[in-house]
Amino acid sequence: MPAKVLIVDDAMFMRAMIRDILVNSGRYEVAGEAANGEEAVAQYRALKPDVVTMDIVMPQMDGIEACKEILKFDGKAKIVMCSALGQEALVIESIAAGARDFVVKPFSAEKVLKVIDTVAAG
Amino acid sequence: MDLAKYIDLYLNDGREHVGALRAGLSAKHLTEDTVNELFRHAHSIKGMAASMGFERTAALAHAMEDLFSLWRQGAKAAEPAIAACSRALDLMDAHMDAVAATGSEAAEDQVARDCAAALKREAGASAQGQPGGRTASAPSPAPSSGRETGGRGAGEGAPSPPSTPLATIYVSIDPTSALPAARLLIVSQFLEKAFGACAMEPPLRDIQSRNLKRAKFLVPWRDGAKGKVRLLRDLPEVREVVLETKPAGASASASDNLAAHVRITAKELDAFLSNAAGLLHHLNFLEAGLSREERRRHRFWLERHRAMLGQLFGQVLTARLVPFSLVTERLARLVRDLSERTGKVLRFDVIGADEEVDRALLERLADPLSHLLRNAADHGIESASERVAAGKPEEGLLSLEIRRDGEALLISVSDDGRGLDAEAIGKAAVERGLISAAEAARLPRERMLELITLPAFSTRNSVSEISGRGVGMDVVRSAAEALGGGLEMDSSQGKGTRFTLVIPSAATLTQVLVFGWEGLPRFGIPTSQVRHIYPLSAYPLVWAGARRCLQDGETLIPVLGWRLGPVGKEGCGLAVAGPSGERVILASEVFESERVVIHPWGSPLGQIRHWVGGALLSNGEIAYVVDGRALCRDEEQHGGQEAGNVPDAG
Repeated sequence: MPAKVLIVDDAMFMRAMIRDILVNSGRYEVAGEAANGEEAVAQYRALKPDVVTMDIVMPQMDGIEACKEILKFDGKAKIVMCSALGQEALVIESIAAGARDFVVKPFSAEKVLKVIDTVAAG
Repeated sequence: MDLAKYIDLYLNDGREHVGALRAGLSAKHLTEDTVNELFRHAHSIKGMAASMGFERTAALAHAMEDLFSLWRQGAKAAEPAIAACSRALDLMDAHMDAVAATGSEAAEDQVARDCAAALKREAGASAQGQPGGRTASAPSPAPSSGRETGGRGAGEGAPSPPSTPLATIYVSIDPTSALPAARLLIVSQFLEKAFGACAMEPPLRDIQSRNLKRAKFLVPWRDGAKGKVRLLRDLPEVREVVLETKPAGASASASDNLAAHVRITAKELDAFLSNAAGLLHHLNFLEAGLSREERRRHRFWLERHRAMLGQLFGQVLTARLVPFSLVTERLARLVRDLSERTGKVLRFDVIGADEEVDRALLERLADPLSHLLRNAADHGIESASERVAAGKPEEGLLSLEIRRDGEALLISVSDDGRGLDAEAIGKAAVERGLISAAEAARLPRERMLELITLPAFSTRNSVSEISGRGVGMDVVRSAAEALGGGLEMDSSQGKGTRFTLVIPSAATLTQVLVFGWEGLPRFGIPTSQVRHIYPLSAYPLVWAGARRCLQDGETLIPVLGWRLGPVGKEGCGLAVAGPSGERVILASEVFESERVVIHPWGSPLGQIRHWVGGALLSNGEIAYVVDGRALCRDEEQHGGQEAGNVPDAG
């Protein structure tokens, strides 16, 4: 059975791109999508996905906050941060907060899958 | 209380104490003095760690302190006890690394528990006057395994009980990784999960600032751990994994400790830097000597070589950078002392303490800044009753602000005290014969204030009563000027004073514009000081009264008298920012700008304020670097317009 992924990003374009990468691999199905941190937390509680891809900079609740909230609810949540170049400090903060790994935009399908495969298996 | 800002200071001092302990313990003979020193260092670490809330480090230091205390009372310093101390120091190092990387200590694991137990046991053994603690199965090397017998090889001085050895894992990540520090942090977390503990080196902060793609990880080694290391190779972006395990019992070899931290003087770093720069110059020469054909043939290696030298240069440079906060801690202590001594309530605000500056520069700034703060507290800030009468809060405010403006570093010390009395300063200057009454009447306010930085003025004690400033402002000014900068001041009576040290270059590497006059050596000026370059073919020089000016549309920019060769229509005017507006330097040749290392002149050239130093250009030539700002100021003060210069050609 393919693993379930929740995609969190405020840009529809980025969500579509990640969705395509995941679905085309045949190893994942998209359980749901969220456009901000608050939605992400609510969706996580409802869907219990295996992996979350989490954008960092989003309106309302940002990705780091959302990551912390989700981990409060489920300490074993597997969250992969999606970062832009130059956001190293934010990524480090997320990892310190409990995110499992990260991918950097612009995405390459190969790298995204490598990271998500590792996190999903770990 | 926010302890985070003390972390750097804690690590700095803490590592020094750990290093001193290590050196002391490795001495051939432990004299009484050495043991006293050991005790003091352990005691210091205990106090510092406990006040930072780092209980594990504090507990280790405490156990050591107990042991040393027994040694002081005459108990023999037995080999196993020394080995246990050595392991405790390694753990302290690992804790400090973890503090540097994450802000908290490394996890408590079996290694740490074993170590603490060993220290306690050795203390017990010392108390009985025995070199105890050795397990029955261990070979018994000599009748006495006391320190004097020497020889502390692996096996012989095997610590007991057999503890978990440490393994070193070197991990390199993909050089194209976008966020290498975050990637190495993931690796570190993976290892911590797999092995229970993991210390990363260098600390995360350094990896981040130096953009490193490789780190060393220390983990406790257990059976079956090899498989876990194999898993490491499957992590994203992990390129290379090299594992180094040591024979059990030799977990803390001296060489390992040396590798972890090496102390080096700023002078040695300077030598590295100048050698690296020298190598770049040599490469230029070598390349220039090659024929085009040869150059093409060796292009790959030439480029690799240049890239690596550039990298080396950058690494040495960043190794010299330290946060300004290293000195602000000391200044905060000074203000506390001043507050006590003067009986005035003082608040000290620091803005921009995170700004990173060259260590050597920081060291040279500490004194002038202390001087300014001392003056502000002594003379600037009024007594509590005066302040209340003037409608100010009782608490006097001293603030230190560090900010960057392009290449320049601006450091201000301000107070909200009584301010400078320009009129009184002028009067005093006339009395002392420094200026005439007529000059005093003409002098603008800000120039009047500058008078207090003249040595002849500020050595008089009475100044402090008149101007609110004590002795030594000339010292502050010359310190700033020795760094190629200057001192600016701004004061409003009754409201306060602000002194700003303007350092044209905050790092050893400065971007300079290279210019000159035909047939003469080249000159450089920090590009941060150059506002505009005017080709003289398009911008005319005109006379405005007795002043020669460059005309840019409606604007007339006065020309500086400083000119060492003839300048014709093909020359350029460099507009330089001076303390009272722009001035133009006329040069016959302007070349590219380059990043250079400025070597300050020694005396007597160093005493000429507008000469900053010399620099090696990438073509191997020497450039004389001038401070445009000082040049403008000097000419304004001496009014030397076009005196003694070479006449223009044509």
